Amino acid sequence: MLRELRAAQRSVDAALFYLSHEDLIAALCQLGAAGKVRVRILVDVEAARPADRHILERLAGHGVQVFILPSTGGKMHMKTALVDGETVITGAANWTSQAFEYNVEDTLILHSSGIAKIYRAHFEALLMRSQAWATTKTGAPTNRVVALPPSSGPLARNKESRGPVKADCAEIYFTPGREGARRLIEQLLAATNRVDLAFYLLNDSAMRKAVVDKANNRDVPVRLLVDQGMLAGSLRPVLQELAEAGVEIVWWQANRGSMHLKTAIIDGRYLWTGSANWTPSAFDANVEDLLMLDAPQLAETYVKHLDVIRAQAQVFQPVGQVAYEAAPRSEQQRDGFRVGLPPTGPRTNWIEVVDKNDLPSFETTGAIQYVPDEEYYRVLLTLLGSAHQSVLMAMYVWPAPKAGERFKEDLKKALVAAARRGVYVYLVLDMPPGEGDELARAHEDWAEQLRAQGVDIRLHIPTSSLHAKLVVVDLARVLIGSHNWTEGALSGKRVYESSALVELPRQDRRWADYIFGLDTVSDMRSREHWQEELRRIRQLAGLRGKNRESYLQQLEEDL
Amino acid sequence: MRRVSLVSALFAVLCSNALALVAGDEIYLRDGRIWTGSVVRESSADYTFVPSSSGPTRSIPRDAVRYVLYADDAKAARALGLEVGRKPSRESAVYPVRILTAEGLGQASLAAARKATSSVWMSGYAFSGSLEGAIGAFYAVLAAKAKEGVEVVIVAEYGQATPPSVKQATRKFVHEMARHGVHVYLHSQWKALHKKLLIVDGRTVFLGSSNFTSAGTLYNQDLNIAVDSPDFARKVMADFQDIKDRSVALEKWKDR
Repeated sequence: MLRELRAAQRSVDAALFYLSHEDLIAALCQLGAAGKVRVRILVDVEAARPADRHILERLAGHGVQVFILPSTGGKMHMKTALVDGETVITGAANWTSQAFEYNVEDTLILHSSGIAKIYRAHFEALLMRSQAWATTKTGAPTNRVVALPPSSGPLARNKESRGPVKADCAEIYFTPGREGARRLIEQLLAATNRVDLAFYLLNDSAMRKAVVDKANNRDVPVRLLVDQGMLAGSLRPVLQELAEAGVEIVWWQANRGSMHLKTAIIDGRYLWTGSANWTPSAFDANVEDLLMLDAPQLAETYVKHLDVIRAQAQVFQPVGQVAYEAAPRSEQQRDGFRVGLPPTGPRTNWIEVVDKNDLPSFETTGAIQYVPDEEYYRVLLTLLGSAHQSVLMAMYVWPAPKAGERFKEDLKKALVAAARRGVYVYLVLDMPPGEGDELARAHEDWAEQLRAQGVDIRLHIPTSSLHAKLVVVDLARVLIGSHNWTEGALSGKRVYESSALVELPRQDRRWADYIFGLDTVSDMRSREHWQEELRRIRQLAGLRGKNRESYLQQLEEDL
Repeated sequence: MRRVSLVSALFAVLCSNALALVAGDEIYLRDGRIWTGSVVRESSADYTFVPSSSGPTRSIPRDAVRYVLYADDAKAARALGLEVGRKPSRESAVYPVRILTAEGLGQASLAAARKATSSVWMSGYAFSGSLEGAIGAFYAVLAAKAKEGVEVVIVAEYGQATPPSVKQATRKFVHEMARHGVHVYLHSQWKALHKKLLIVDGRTVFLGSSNFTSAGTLYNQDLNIAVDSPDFARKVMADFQDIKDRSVALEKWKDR
């Protein structure tokens, strides 16, 4: 890839979902700074978020034209570059070191003016819908040329590297749109010899049905290699179904790498690859490329390579009745999160185990900013929008939204958006002591709504008052003070409030200890479950002496 | 459909060795058990847990209370992008900040008030009507300081929407304070005063969720900060002054 990029004479156009690989960035910067080659990069709107801005700033500072594709409900998921409008580089690999150093990926370099023409037209069409990205920094370096590592070394440990191969025919599809998917299904169902699949994600119902139907025919072997991630959560039933239909499934695991291919090989002849996973979002929402090459020699290379990977992989064992902790399949699913379960896996790194009864005051150092009245809301949304790993919060009051109010509702959206980005969002809400309290109901409603959308809301035990109003982002930025999440306080129109933003020079796990140390209802599976627990806690609180003892004993026996 | 004929393609697969599984992650369950192994991130919402002992890969259970990912800090920093999370702020000056629970605030505010030499400013939404206990000791220090000649100013919420029990306690409290020479202002606008501020000698600021009541300085689950910084204090004092200007001095209040 580096060789192709460096050899560019006129132009490099790239549509990239992720771009963080140092060598590739450096190569683009070098081309841009030299000024001879026009370099245009089109990225997903996510790349412009604060955490990744520095990359765009650096590219722009070296004369690279950066464009952002505004969100249209999906991602710009392509990993494609065009060199001199003649050579196409595409495949499953994002331009990250993760992809090249740890994952199983593919990248095709296609020297074909015919294919290039189609990609070029698509790229130009995407550019028409994009916005030029403006740097916020002034005085960015304009002529700094970044030294590149010696060009002779391989980019990564290449296990296989073959010479040029021929393809007789190619078909190229772009999503959103199901044309490519339909063509793929048609080819898959017509297979007469074998079907080889390797997928990072596979849960699109149409594709799934096609694979199941083909396997049920028992006319050709259908083999599937998946990433370990397919074993998790809501994806596992897909594997279960496919295995029951007779698909030979293996899964690949590595400590850091993923099996990231999106590849189908039909009859050892037709090779399908590109950026598109077989997911509904890939076909219906994202911008993806799906490339079919009628190239027996290339297809054979792929099949052989998949055999190598399969040899390192584990056989998927279907179980009779999935004794899994998954919610029943019939339960409504929204936005890919299972209803009633917290998202598993905070991305934050904390170690100390807290003694729950001992939450001491502590000292720290940080830059501090006074955040009075209506300023709080802006700071809060900025924090949520820029959260990188975790948002940990404690809140005393968050009433139900009334007609015409927007602040509480917008705040909800910001929390959900953070969770959807992959940020771990944990919020403890106070529970008033009295049953049937209006605020208690509101907090339960938030919990029910937001847990279904990936926000891990917990209810504080009702026997003590959680009066803190605290937001901790990435364990390094802390918004603390008197602001409750009432419409009046958030808007700054009804209440005079004082909070402060403390920005720490480094992450401090004690904030996690504090927030995770708060006593919360433990069974948050569903409203029914937590109400049962709340009822017990309230009942216990009202009991003294012997009655309390015997009630405790009874609870223990119930368990 | 778009067709192209005669393509030559160069193909390279980039792949690493399947790395040996390294134990390093821990999951703490509510029942006290700890799983060790490896947490593998899939999509933004899905994680899988691979135990270090031979056992099935599984999803992270819902009764997990805490996750320790990557016992090695450097590894965590690389894998999780910790560096990005701690971009330096635009305000460069860094001050010591004390993080105070209710009890911590009770002790720290009492100590600070005792040492006050020129001024103690306080604003709040709720106060204790009783002068007993720890909070009573704090109130007593305010009164004593006022008598000594320290400028003690209290702005208390006393609006229409304030619950009668809170108002009653506030009334008792402010009259007691005023009796000792504390400058008391009552805030009674449509917009409520909920700022919980304590500023000592124009430089030490206490701010947070605690009311200066027994609950707020002893047993509620509260969190506050204390900062020693004249710069920060200046901004907070300007805001306090503004609230004070919107309030009515207690001696004038009687006429209303």
